[in-house]
Amino acid sequence: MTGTVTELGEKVRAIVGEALALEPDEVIGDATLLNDLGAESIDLLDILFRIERSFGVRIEAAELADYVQGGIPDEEFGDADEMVSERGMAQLLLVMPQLETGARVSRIKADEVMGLFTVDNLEQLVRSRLGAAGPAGG
Amino acid sequence: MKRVAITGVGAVTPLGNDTATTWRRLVDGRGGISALRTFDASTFPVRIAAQVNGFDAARRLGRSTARKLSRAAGFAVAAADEAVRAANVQPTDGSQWCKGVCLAGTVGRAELTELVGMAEDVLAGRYRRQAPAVVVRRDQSFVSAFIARRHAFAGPVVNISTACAGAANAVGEGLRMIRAGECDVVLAGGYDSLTTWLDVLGFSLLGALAAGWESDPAAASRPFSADRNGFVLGEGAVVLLLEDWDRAHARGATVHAELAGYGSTLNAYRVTDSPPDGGGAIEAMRLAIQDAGARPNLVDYVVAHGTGTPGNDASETVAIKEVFGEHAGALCVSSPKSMTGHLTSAAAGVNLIAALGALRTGLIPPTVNLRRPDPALDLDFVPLTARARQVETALVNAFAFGGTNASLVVRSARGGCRD
Repeated sequence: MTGTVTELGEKVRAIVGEALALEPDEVIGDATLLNDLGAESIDLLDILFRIERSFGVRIEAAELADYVQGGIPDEEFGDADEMVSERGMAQLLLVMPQLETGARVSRIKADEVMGLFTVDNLEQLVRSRLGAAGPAGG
Repeated sequence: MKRVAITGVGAVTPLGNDTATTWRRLVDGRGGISALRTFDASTFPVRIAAQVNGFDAARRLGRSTARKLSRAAGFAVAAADEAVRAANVQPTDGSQWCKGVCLAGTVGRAELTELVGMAEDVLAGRYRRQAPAVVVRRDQSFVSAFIARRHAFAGPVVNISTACAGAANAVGEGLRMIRAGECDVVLAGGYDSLTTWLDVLGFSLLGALAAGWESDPAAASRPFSADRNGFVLGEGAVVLLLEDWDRAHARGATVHAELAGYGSTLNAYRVTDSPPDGGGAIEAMRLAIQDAGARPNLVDYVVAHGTGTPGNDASETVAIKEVFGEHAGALCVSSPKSMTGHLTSAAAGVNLIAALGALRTGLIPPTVNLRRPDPALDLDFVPLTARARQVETALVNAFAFGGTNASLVVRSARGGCRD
């Protein structure tokens, strides 16, 4: 079981490295895709395209924000100051658990959340989709 | 009126993957035409081209960049890099809003294998999924935007699409952007790679390509020869760094030459025929000379469009005679396409390298393969070997299917220093 988990993580990291033309050791699990690895939206599309080909799991770019926000509408996810709300933060910790030890709830701007999305978070997303869809062709 | 200096040149051509190598081979008369390698042409009527050799986009530009670039775009980015480096223009140097890009190219094409897959999916009613890098590779405007971002040029970006006159139009429009005070610096030139199955097929069907030279590719491009029968497709990119004259001097830049004049016209004649009377090319050359504040008898060297098609070379010769009158006989006229083939959108860039080299060194690149002159074409075409002659002013021609004509005048920086 551990073997499969590691294998999936390695595959996701290889895909990210390939799409961003990075050396394998540059793609570490807690690197953020946008801020640390410099991905642009076209690179995210590329990564998702490669994930689809590799795992048979189709994730649209537009779904990424929905996944992170867990279906919470924008006006409830952010408060009046455009900071992530308490409800929003509870959701964020489910999909981006690294934020637990990081910035406090009130310090995260709602529109900066995607910048904190890491390679590990992406791996978790792929795993959750694979789990939902059952084993898919690769 | 503001004057414009050329302070950097970059090139990837069938003669070499930088400007110096390209120039050296132009002067040496060593061409770059060989059997087509970009696709399997064994069933095609024409199986030769002038191709870029040993260019590794991933190594030269980085893997991440190279993935998003078509073959032609890779040449363009590399040529722009060389021009910026040669001119020593730094990203922090001056206002980014006053640095523009003006490049000529051709809209990208899908690879044949890619098209087959697309056709199958679309015909079967399936949505075709493709990597985004593949999608942006087909976009013409992406190339110049990519170059602009790479060098922090945030001023106007203009994309030109006038086929074989492209680079001359782009450089001419770049000249205007500086004169208008809109830009201090403009990266201008052209890039193309029409050595594809689609273009070899298309130009063959138009009867434009030199045919029957498969056993002796080096002899295929024969501008101004009695036995010329078409042009040879080439590929590559040439990009110049144009700069406001005063700014270039103020920062102590090396000025290769003054870009002094530009003229452009349309024949408004047939689509692929050159007008026998010289057509709009006459007016384009006159406008460029006038724009440079020069006179025809001050021009020493005409870098001809000289494709090697029966029609172009006859029409261009008539036009040159009409513009220069008695002085036509005193001109040196040569065609780099005899060595490089036809770089289509980048063709005028190669001609500019010939002009700038001649201004700098006093050596005029030859028209190779010109052993049997056409008696009707009686100018001094500098046959076979380079000619030593001091050049102060040169005129560059570029003409296109569709009838576009563009001419540029470049003048030695020595002359420019007089006032």
